[in-house]
Amino acid sequence: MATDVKLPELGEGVTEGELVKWLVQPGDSVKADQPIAEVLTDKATVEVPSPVAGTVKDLKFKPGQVVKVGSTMIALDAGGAAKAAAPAPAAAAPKAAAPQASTPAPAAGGKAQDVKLPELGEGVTEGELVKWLVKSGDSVKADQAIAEVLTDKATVEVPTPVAGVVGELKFKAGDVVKVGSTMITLTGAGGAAAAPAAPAPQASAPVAAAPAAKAAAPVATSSASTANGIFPPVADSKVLATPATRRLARETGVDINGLSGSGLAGRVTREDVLAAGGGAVATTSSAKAPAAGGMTIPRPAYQGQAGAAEERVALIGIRKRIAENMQRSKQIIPHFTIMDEAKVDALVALRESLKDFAEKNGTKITYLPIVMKAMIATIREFPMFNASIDDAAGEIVYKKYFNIGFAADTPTGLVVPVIKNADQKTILEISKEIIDLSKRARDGKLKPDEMKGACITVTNIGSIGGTYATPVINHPEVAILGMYKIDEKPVIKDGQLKAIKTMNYTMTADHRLIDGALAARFLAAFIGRIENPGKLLVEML
Amino acid sequence: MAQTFDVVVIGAGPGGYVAAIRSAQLGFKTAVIEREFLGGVCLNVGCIPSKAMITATHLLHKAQHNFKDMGLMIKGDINVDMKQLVKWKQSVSDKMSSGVGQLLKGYGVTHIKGDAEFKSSKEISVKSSAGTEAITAKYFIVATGSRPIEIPGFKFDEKDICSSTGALAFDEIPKRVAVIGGGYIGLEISSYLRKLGTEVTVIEAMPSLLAGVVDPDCANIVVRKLDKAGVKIMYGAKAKSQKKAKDGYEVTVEINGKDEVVKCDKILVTVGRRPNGDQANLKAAGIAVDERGFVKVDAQRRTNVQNIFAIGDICGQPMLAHKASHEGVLVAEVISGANRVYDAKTVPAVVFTDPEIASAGMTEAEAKAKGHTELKIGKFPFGANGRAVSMMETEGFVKMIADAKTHVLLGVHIVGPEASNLISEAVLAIEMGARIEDLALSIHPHPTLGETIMECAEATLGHAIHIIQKPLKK
Repeated sequence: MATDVKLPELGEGVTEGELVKWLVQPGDSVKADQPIAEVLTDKATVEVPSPVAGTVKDLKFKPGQVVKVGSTMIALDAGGAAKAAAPAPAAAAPKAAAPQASTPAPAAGGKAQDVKLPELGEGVTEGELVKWLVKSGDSVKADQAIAEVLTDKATVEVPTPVAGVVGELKFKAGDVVKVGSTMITLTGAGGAAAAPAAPAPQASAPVAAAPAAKAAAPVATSSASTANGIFPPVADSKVLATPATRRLARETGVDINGLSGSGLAGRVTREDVLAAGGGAVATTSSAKAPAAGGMTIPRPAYQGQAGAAEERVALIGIRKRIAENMQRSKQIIPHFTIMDEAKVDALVALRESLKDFAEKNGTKITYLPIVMKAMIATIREFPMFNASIDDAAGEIVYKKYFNIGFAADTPTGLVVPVIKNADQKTILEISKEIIDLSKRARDGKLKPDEMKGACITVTNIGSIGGTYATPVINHPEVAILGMYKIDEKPVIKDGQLKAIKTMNYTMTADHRLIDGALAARFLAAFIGRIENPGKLLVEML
Repeated sequence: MAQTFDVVVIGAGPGGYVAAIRSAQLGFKTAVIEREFLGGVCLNVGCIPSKAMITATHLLHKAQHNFKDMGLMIKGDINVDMKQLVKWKQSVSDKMSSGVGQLLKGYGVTHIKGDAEFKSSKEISVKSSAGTEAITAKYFIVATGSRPIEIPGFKFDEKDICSSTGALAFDEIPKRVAVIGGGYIGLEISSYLRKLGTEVTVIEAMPSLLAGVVDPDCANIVVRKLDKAGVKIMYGAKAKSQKKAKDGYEVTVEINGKDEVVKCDKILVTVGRRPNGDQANLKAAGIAVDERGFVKVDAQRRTNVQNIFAIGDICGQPMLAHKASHEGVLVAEVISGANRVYDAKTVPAVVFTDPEIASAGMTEAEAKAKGHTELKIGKFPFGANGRAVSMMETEGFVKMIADAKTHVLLGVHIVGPEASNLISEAVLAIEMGARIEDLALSIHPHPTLGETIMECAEATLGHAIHIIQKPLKK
């Protein structure tokens, strides 16, 4: 009884997600509601649960590929009692499959089970088969190593997830095996080495050469075969391409061996190479759909220092999303930044005085929530900072709510969680929320919704360093406020030398809506509140 | 104060001088060091002078054998003034060599005459008549070539016991020559010496000539013609020793387990060439050389030392001038930061025997080994080509090998008139991934030898016009 597990609805308006990694392997038995994969949507990683229990048959996608909502992600051999699940459209209501005590249903009765090449590491899409550790007819135990595979300088042993009898070895030593390709077919249950059943017809072993569903897998494969980002000669391979095309492929960083040619007799044409390299040639696959907003972003090839020590890893996941967002923002928004210094003795004193109070309330107050409050008060004066441009409609959108984003530094890169309706929350509440969101951001546990809908963003680099910066606006917002570290400075006041505390602030704004003068006024008004936090009290609603 | 350059090329043969010119074109301050002559072996004692000798003797042969049929009457004998022939041959080499000098000068390449030795990976010293100077460079290109292999007991004096160098400089026609080694160099020289009237004995260790070098069908045509011309070929024979006799030399040859003596005036040893990996003190730069003397290089022709490249004969087979030149351009471009690797599908090979042999791509055996289980093979004879008939040169054929399923051209082997010039079309076709139909459907001009390529493609498809083929089975 096979069940297809599909990618469920991931949230309002989300039609697809990028597969970050598989949490299960073929042969694993899963319980109902067990997460099977991590999928990245709009900067949030969500775990996709399996609605039913069963044994994972095969994984339909590779990390880095874009999966549409409703696409089948894995095939499950559901336990005997499973309903012939009419695929529940996205309703993640677990099917009442009597949840079995999850013993891996061994592929009984000559059932064939494909053992595929699992993920070998971040950005690794293939490996070279060094040697087989088993031969056809061997019985293997679960977790027994079946082969040694070499990836970018490391040799790893590939284990079989289940027990069984080894059928056909699908590759020869020296072959390059793509992640997800079937390496062997196992038959029969483990233990009693039954006479190997006739190998069942292959499930759907992707043919190594023709990359199945070349969806969004960027072609820049980093493989064992590319030393220093220099593709080896292809003259000796079966690929048909003219010398000029072969050179073009090399220059655009396209491994021509991985392309299926559209030309006569399967020739790889100039256009095939350009398409694979993200060149300006339209392709039929949705892979190269222009980035959101209908913009085409230039994708120049990088020519390495010939022979210099370089390593290539696929640009996927959060990093790719950040790259796209930053590039889009810089392409759309004419940025400018205005900078100023605030005297923060009063602010520092205020925060110090509130330490115990905050602790009693089970939190810690940093400057960030106070800055947010000062910012909201200033935005009320200057509503343009809480606007967006709807370029498609040619309209300015003024928002009457205050969702404040703050930049969080995480191991995988920058994410921006949002404090929703911050104007209606106390500084204490905002503090708690910041601490919680930051922690979950670092752990990669934010929900997509928690990173959406900001009206304006604060970035606090002061904790790390730097006097001033020119941050990038989080489009479609129109401004980003930067706060920097607190410093002590000598000033002369009434003929006396005094030490005061200062803090730098920057306001980076979208010049289409906001002029320099306006930004300067905003920053001055904002700094007025920072220098005299009492104003915030007086203004409170 | 050491002179310093961006790129220093060691050796100005067909690899080195090309690398130097390309480096200069790319804006590098370039020097080329050459101890002997610009153009190297190729221009001075190899390809070019041998072609001069072959051209002259070919004409001589035509005059002796074809003129009468063509109605060209010559009074008296045709005599060869060997001194004049060699002088003319030398003038051809000199012209080419000075041409290289002009090019280097025109591109602003510094030409330093002397013997280079590595001191480190960044410095060489150059010994010349003027003394020794140190030269430093960011990049070095080792293009020091190869030299003829000597065999025990046959030390070259280049007068009586000669490599190809000495053979090209005979100032009188030798009466009897023993040629040890029936490879392409030995056979080219044997062919033209025979036309001058020399008695030639070829001593070949293998059971056939040009074995593994060219298509066996092609080799057979040449061997038959050598036989007909009276060249004696000893197969499975090993030259053991030589001694000076009353007149000339006696070479002891072991054949079928017995010793035989070959009497001759000159001994020519052409058993191959070895890379000069033992020269220029490559060790001092840390350059890895394999046990055969080849410098180890990668697909970019980079040695194990990051800033040092090697091209041409020194870095591996095939030892051919055109391969060296290609690598010269490649390496200069790699140094300039371009993403390049050696990525040619085929290096054509040409043997200037009579008739010429030329090949590009795979032989049948190679195609099978590369997994092309089913082949389509076609042949078209020069005898059916009008131009060949009008030239009175009808020996030989064009042979094509293609994949039976895809019709993609895998190899072309030509034996016959101007094979050396005809092969270029095949090289382009193979590099472009052409199918046999592409060649068959391209209109070739009439009456030319080139038509044989088109007709051979048609023959491979089973329907050449000018030969009678069995009707195609559907």
